[in-house]
Amino acid sequence: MRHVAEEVKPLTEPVLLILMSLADQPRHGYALMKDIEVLSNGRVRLSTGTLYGALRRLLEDVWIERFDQEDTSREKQAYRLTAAGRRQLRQELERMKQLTRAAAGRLRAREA
Amino acid sequence: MKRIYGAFLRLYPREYRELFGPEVLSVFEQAAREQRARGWGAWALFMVSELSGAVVSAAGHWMDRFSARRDAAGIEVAGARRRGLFSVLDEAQNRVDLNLRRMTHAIADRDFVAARAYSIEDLKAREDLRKLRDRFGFDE
Repeated sequence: MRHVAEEVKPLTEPVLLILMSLADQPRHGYALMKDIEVLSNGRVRLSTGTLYGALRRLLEDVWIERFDQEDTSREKQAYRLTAAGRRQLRQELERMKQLTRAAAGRLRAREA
Repeated sequence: MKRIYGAFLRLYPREYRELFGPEVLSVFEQAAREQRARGWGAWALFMVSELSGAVVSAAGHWMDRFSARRDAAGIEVAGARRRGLFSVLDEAQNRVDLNLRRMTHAIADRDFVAARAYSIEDLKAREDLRKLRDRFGFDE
């Protein structure tokens, strides 16, 4: 049980947004930063330090990987989700859906 | 601007700078250019956010680095007792395996800067594992 609880530990917002941003296509650092602003309706703007701190941890966990794009220079590495990263994102979405359903149920019960 | 931010990058561990340094500077430069076009106010806010973010992030990297080293070395016998000796040894072995995988990926991706950084980490991880085995009298 404890093991299951650890596996579905909530992701931090920067990590969730990075995984979301990479879900449809690979992106490099600046494109990630811009896409995260769009995904969060302008609410979240990650600083470069925060972005690369999260990217480093995600690389260490092998949830994302770096790869060469045709126009890639050392200053413009691209990142993409790994299978493990995609699985983590799905798990997080399931966790959020479950919470949303539970919260909506409680609200309905209160209003009925 | 780039020089100021570059100076802040020196706060980060060396392997981080080797792996991400040029990329981070390039992203910072693009973002700074965009904010500057929005006016001085936006630019000033951006710089405050970036420089404070760099300091906080550098501290996070150092903390991660120290805690990883401490965990791997298993210096704390109390920690070993709490988590179980085999768990500590497994963690150290996993770290060695993980570094090796990353190094292999980096070489396959022709990212030799990253490969070198992982190779340095690999040496440290193997040394930590060796110390642990010596400490608890385990053979290879």
